[in-house]
Amino acid sequence: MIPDASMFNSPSAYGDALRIFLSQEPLATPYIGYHTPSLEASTKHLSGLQSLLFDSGWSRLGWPEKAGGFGGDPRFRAAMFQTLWDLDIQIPEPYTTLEILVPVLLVYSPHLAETLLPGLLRGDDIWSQAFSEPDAGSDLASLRTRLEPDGDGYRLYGQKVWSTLGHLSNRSVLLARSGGPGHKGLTMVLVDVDQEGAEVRPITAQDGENHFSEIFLDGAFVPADRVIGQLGQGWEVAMYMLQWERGAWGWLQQGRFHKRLEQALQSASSNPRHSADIGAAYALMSALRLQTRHTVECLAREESLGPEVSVDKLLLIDAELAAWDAIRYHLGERFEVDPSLDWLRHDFMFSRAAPIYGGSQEIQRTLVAQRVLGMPRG
Amino acid sequence: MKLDQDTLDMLRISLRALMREGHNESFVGRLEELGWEEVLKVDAATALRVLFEIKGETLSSVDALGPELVRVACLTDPSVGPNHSILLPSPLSNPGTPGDTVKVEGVTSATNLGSQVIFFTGEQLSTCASSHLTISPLQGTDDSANRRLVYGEVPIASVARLSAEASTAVVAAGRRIIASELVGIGRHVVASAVEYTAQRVQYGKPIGVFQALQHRLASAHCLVVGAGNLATEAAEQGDEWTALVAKCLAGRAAENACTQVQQCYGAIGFTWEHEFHRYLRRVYILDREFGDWRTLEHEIGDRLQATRVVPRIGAL
Ligand SMILES: Cc1cc2nc3c(=O)[nH]c(=O)nc-3n(C[C@H](O)[C@H](O)[C@H](O)COP(=O)(O)OP(=O)(O)OC[C@H]3O[C@@H](n4cnc5c(N)ncnc54)[C@H](O)[C@@H]3O)c2cc1C
Repeated sequence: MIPDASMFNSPSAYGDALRIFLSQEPLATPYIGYHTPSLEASTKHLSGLQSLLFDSGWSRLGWPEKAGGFGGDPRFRAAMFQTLWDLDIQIPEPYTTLEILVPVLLVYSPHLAETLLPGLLRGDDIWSQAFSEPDAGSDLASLRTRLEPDGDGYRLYGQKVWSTLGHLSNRSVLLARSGGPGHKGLTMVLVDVDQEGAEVRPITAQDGENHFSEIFLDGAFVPADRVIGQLGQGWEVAMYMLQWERGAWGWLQQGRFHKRLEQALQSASSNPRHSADIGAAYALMSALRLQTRHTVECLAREESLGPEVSVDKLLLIDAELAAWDAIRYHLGERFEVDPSLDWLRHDFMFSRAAPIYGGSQEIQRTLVAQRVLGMPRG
Repeated sequence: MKLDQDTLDMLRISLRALMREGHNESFVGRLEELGWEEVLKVDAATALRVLFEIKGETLSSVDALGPELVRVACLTDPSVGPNHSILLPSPLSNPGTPGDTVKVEGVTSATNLGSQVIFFTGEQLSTCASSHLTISPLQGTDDSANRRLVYGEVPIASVARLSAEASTAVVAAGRRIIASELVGIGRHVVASAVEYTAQRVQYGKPIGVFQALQHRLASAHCLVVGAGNLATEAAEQGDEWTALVAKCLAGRAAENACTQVQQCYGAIGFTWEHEFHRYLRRVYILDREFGDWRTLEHEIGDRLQATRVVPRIGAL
């Protein structure tokens, strides 16, 4: 059976059908309950899951037909993530970048989405996001990597940093300066990072894994048709992308917190002294889940979200920190010493990044204050 | 069916006016004049949520909760009817059953009690005649809430127990309703502080430009939004678990909003004259009803540990 969107009267029904498929499919067994602390190992191992889900058609729902999908709105993707977590199948990291990077292509450069989405979904390609620079973190619009015209395309000069999955990726969605200073001089491009003129070096994060990379650009070539949107439209494109980065990403993450908390409850004996932490975390996780469900529904209706989506990120930060704190306390000594929980310790250490990446907690609070509540700017 | 946006907007305007009038005796009658019965038939979940959000926002002390809880009890237990009033669990002592009498104690905001009252003994709901009960004003944090203590001892033979379903349904309804009221308060206090900080000038600028205050209000807003999501889901699903979680986060969000907002006002917000303390007091009272947020966090955690299943609130 090849699934398509018209077979299911709701995304949940699709999620249920996917659960049955995965529970019965022998090829899915290696992925259920698979945990590894290594991003490199998991990305490699789970690429098999990516091809299984693509070839059987399941991961093609929620993506438009013209881009190689099987139709249905993004809620189908949200349902797929839910089902994967529920079955204790780790979401392949490339899915998460895909969720952030591809929707923007569908809007601003459909020709790229049409040709490139299938390879990405299947796991043949891995993309990363290269916005941050050593001197441009929160103040992203001050970035300096240059995009210079050359023949029938452009060349990139400069340095990017903190690019998640960068060293495992073959392409990067990269924000560069094509014009003068400020927002207006920025352009978004898709660049091959496996070419000469681009050097990618992994950086080890505090969880001990090579999570992100720096990318040195010295003349890497960008064909003209790999500009996303128009020249000078980069800021607008980046802002569109942030809706997905803050909303759809949050949905994906809440599924993980629910599963991990459940696993912690199942593997440690009850302790009334942990109840308050667990209850508080659960309430925040539920609030995050409902908030990001709302966001995914808006995105599915192609409604633009605006600055409210910073609320999603702020709720994510609260929920993520509270959930992992509750898990760590509840597992007690075992958390520190149990050799079989290595992967969980890495996950915990990684959770501390929530208030930093994708626009820090401070930046989000300022956005909510000024753009949502309408407080005055200095 | 769902109330459409226009109807909802009109309803909001009428309910605000009604709440501001604040006549306890005529409230239910005036609500009926608005066609409340019809509205409830179309979309009770939304209508009730909006009613109590506005009650919170306007700091009204009309007794809207009592009649609604009696209505819920009616739906689950046929012995309950319109001549019943409900007493909320008493904050003062635990009612017990000394000898062959039952100690009745509870709180009401109603002006007049019906001929019968519904009251809690622990988690058990029972009814008895109201004629032998004494009513006295309840002094406390929030005197504007019009709360009165009802108490007395009645013979066991004259007390009838209600079904366990009725009690579960009443507690769930109480929790989701008060969650909405707390969310209404949270929204109101944050919005008022946003207005104030845009006007108050220090160091030659509106204090709203200071990041320290912006971040206080932004974080207050987020938690209120999160609590609002849960209160809405609790209203729509009508289940006991979501109501519990919604009440818990709403209490925390409203208290947090007050803490952040108080600081934005400086001394002016510390005066008797300023409205702020009245909202703060109301939050304290509402948070206690059907479980304060710290107790409920515990309860949620206890239940999660007991079942070792983490329910996902909100289906796609
Ligand atoms: C795990 C992880 C993955 C990441 N993945 C990617 C990726 O794939 N692609 C990518 O491009 N980037 C990525 N990043 C980078 C991330 O987006 C930046 O770290 C983030 O934007 C903050 O920038 P910075 O680290 O330079 O901190 P800085 O901007 O130097 O901030 C340091 C501190 O100062 C505060 N601060 C800065 N400006 C203000 C202000 N105006 N008001 C108040 N406080 C302020 C910040 O909130 C923060 O607390 C990732 C980061 C992490 C941790």
